[in-house]
Amino acid sequence: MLKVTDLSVKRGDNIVLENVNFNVHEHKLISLVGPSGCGKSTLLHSIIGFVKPLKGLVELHGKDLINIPIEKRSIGIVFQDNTLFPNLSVRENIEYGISTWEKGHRDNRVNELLDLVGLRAHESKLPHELSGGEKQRVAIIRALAPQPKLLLMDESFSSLDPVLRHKLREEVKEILKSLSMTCILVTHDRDEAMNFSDEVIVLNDGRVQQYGTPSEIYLRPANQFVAQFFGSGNIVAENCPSKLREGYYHKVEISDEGEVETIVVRKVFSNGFFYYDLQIPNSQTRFNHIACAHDFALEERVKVDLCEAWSFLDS
Amino acid sequence: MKLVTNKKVGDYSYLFFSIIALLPIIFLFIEGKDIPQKDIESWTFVLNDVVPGLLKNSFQLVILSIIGSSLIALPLAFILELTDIPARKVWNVTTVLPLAFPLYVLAFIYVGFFEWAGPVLTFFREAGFDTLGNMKFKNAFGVAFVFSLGLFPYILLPIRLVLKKVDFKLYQASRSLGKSDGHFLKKVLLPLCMVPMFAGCTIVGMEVMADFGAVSVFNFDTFTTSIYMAWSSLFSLGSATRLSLMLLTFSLLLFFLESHISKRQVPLISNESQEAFFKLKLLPKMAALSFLGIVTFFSLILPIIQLVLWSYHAWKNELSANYFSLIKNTLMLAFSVGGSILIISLILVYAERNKHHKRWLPLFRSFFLVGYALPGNIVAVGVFLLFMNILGTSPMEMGLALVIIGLTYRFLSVGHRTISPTARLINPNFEKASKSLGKKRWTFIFKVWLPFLRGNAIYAFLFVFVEVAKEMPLTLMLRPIGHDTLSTKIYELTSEGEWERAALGALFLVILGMSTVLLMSLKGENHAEGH
Repeated sequence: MLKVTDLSVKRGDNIVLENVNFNVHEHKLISLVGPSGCGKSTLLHSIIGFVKPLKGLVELHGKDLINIPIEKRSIGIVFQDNTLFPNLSVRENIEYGISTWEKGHRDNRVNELLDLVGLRAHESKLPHELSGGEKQRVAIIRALAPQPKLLLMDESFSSLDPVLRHKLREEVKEILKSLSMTCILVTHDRDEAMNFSDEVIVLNDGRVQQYGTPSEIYLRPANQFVAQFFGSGNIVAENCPSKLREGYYHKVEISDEGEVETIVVRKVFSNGFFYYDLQIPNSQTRFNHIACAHDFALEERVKVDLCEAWSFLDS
Repeated sequence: MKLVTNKKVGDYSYLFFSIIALLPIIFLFIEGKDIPQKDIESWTFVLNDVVPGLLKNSFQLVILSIIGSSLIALPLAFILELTDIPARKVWNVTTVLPLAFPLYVLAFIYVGFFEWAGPVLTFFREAGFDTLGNMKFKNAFGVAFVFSLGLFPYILLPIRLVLKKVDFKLYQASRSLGKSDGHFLKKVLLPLCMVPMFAGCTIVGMEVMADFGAVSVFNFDTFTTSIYMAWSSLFSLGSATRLSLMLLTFSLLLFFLESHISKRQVPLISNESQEAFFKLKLLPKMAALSFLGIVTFFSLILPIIQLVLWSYHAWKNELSANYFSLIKNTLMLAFSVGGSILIISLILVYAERNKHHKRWLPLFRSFFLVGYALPGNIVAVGVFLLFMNILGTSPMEMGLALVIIGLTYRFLSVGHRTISPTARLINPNFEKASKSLGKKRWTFIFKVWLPFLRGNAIYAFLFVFVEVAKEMPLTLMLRPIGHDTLSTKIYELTSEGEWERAALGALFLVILGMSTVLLMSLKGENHAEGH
């Protein structure tokens, strides 16, 4: 449905995106993840047309978008925050994109969307009278009102507090699924990407590092960056003294029957569990954030059980 | 327990002094209620023969000036804030500098230009355009033209402030929703500008109603000129008081209208993006630049050139010992008022430091600061009445002290609003920490509080200094006989059509004014950067 081919974007003297390629299938929820400054938002803005690429193709349903003006692309966007028109009421904001529709049709569409997010009672309020979560709900249905072919969400949940963020994410996912929308969410939050999307694109330094389902990427990361950013981060180097096989371990468990001995170098307590950073003696190899209900002391020796090692695809 | 009592004493003192500060206005009402026997005849004349014309003139002038200023300000605000116009920093300055011109200076420059014997009409007559060459400039349109050139920044600045805060993402969202630039302009940007525009228009209205000097140059009768006439020619304090009351009613109406309108502004979040909303193509860009150029030419360049030329012709004859004494009088007056306002503002701001949560504070604070919303003539009459009742004789015997008190009352707000916002940034816990370290209140004030406000205090002093130097009606009405300042001398000379002779003093005032306008825009930029 959306096909990006060899897309490169330059800002000043810097290449922000370099030969980016991917295909998005219809009705899929996609997350675009990566660290700050990796080019996620630039990629999103190139798709909608806010940024003009240096080269490459962006096609939607087989039609090249590069020379089509933003307002004719039929792509909706929801930003991080503060993008409701401040002088228009909730209803007027939603009507904005469908102002040319016939009145009855338009009213039905607005009512339907307001009901979808449970904001019918707030329709005459101005944006500053809404809470953060309500504002984002309105921003989402405003973008959905003209029935875009593709919805882009640029860090749309990240301005909310964690509880609300989780709740709204679930709610939005359900709505988008019920409408069979195709959506790309930009986020720097790995958990958000895992929970929200059918497929994930991992981006770093302006290049696509890996594209796959969340579990594929977590279990079989393409390279060290993906393993550390999206996976468990437990990587054993070639020269590890404990004879462990070199590679990536998505699962590390503390167990009395474990074969590998480690030392507790750091611990924190959170949500009923201890989380340990464990180090293999006389080496730099560490397994971080390993959960366990048992309380070990710092410097204590503990045994761990590891899954099969995974060798990176790119190496 | 002692702390609670001290706080209450502080509150009561503040309330007490705020009511004292309202006395000049209270006396206007008391004295205006019954007209003295000796003034009945003059008041009947004023009421029947003068007031209807004043109402018509004032209404006409306010409407025309608001229309003129808006027609300049709105397009300027859009060009400067939303487009990629070149040399924006230069235009930012040139579009606020007209504020440096006292309106009466701008007025006499343009009257000098457009009078029958002036260069423009002479040129038209010599070129054979007799209709244009005999055109009359001294009418409501002429005054409104000058007011529009001098007052448009009052509308421009609040609109720009709002547009500056419109997030670029709103524009992107609008485009993603399939809407054109025009639709975004009509549905979002223009409606957002309405509140600051109306607020700016009411300020223009207030300035027009309060102006005395410019309308005097045009011989155009308004309330302020009539108050002065009743005061100086008819010697009728009763008529002057009643006219002041009428003008006071309009001024307060506009004042409340302005605060009411300003409250309706929807909150906006600061725009972090520096990107221009609309990238202009060559032709629109040329049109925008031409508009900026024309406005700058008429509101700034032409008046400066004219002042410099006139001053050049006049300086040899004018620059006498008498002139130096005018400058000395002006500076001494500005210095005294600046100093007294600085001290009172600091005391007020310190007294308010722990009262910001009190609901009564804005109202009672406005009693202290109301002078700035009132025309100088009203303040003059009010202060005069107050001291007449206290002393039981004519307060003119107080000499310069009466002028200083009047001007302090008139411009206290300028000092207060320059210091207060920064003072509010001082964490109240600092004072508690100082107490917990065993230090007395004075130590805290001199070691922490005052040094923190030093920069703002200097600004406050300078802003007041320039306002006082430019002020005309109050100084004119309350000054001891024979004690002239630059502004009163300019009044005297322009009343006789001596534009060239008035130019040198005017140039001095304009240069003073420009220094503060530049300082203010610099302060604004620093503040924005710091923010």
